[in-house]
Amino acid sequence: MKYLPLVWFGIWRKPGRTVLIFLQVAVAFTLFGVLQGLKTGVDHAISDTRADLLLVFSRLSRGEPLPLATLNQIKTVPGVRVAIPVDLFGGTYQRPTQWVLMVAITPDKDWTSAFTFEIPPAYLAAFQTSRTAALATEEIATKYGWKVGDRIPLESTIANSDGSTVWTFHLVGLFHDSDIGGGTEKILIQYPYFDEARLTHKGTVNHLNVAVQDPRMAFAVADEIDRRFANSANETRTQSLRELAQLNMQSIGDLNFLIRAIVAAVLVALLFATASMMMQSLRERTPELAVLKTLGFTDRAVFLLILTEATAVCATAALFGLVLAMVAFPLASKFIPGLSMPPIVVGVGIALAALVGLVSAAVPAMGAARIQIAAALANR
Amino acid sequence: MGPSGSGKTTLLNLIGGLDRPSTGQLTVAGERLDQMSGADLAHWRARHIGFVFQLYNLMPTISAERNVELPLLLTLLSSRERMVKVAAALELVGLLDRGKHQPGELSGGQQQRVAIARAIIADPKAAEVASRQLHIDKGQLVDGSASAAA
Repeated sequence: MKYLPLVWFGIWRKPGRTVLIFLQVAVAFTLFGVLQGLKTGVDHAISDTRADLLLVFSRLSRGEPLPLATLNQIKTVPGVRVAIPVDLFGGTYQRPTQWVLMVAITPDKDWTSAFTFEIPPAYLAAFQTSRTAALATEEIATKYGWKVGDRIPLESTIANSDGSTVWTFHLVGLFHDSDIGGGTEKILIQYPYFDEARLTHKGTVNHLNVAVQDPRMAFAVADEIDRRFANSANETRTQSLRELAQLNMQSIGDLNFLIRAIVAAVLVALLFATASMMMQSLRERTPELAVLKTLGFTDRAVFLLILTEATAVCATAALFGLVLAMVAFPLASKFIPGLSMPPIVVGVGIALAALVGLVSAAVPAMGAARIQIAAALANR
Repeated sequence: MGPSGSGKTTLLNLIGGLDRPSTGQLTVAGERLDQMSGADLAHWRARHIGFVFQLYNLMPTISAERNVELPLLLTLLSSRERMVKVAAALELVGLLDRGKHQPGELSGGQQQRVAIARAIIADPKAAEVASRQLHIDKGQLVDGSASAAA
């Protein structure tokens, strides 16, 4: 403790340089914190994704239609609670650039349990009373200024029975999709109406959503569904929503590796920058350090003094950077919900910063400890 | 006294424990300095030697009283005890009211007196000698390369 003033004044000997070191460490650890928060957010999002919700696609590709007849076979698989056919098609609203995804579903009993949609009961009831009813996400309704009760014409490449490619739906309510990977610009419509009205591809679906009775049975149910359609004309591939979320994440690369690689590159660059500044600083302080040794400070005391200075600056800057990252989370969470920084990340961040400080100061500190007093005082 | 290059500074450095002889024996006040380790020599300097440099060599970023306190950091004295001694040393050199000032804010003579206070603070005998000397002539205390008060 008694050396603290000496450390403090050593740190602020050249305020400009100290501020520069502080800023570069703080920026590096803000990046570290944001990336770690991103990783936590993604992990959180994946773990929140339902594992009891299965999606049955064609084994050929996710775009290949399946016959609606598969629905009855799937319903007989033990463990299946609800199975709902889903078809998807795209349309545009007013302008070709204003794209809307239409999700056609059959609103059978308890159909919402096979989806991640949150629909107020009044809107749910209204949706079931009209064949041309539609529910829109809150986001798309806000974007295009839609209000409940509006009639919404959408242009599509799929023609309906009267030969027109314009599909008009009656907006009866709004909903929220808790699946962050599901997109927000979509509306729900009724599959029976859509299938009856379209000219082509009648009796097919894009996929089926299946809710299982027990989440622990999800893998077994998925295997059984695929087994039943094996070697048929419509082989299936069944995956849970969580599995799909994980696959989607893997498709952009190994996030953990990317984060570690970026953090490692930043830390190495930081190490060199900090070490070079420390060396310059200690060269300037050689006569002062020689005076300390003259007064009786041992080599070890001088070495520890320099290490403490560097570690204190780096650890404080890292803490500041991590706090900045935490401040940025509420802004970033609009894009990735669940961003957070567990205490372990703060601990690891400060430990890493201390390590950067120790390693970058180790060589200059050793040099300072080995100063030959007589030579240093004579400026030799 | 001696011509340039005759070894005056080297001799003082050896006596002050700042340098080591490459050959031979070096005994100061009955202690063999040539046989001491670096750490032992540092402790010996702290206990026995007070230095006043020609250019005073005060730490530029800390106040006069912090400069004077430096040798006491190596002792087991408490913060309070150190401050009492620092105040006494500064009073001895007539700079009690300038303790909070940094070396850059002091005149050359004042810096010299801070350096003297720093040199004598850890040694009561030296403080007494310096006190007598100061009373004789406060203006011309020490003028030389490095004088050791042992």
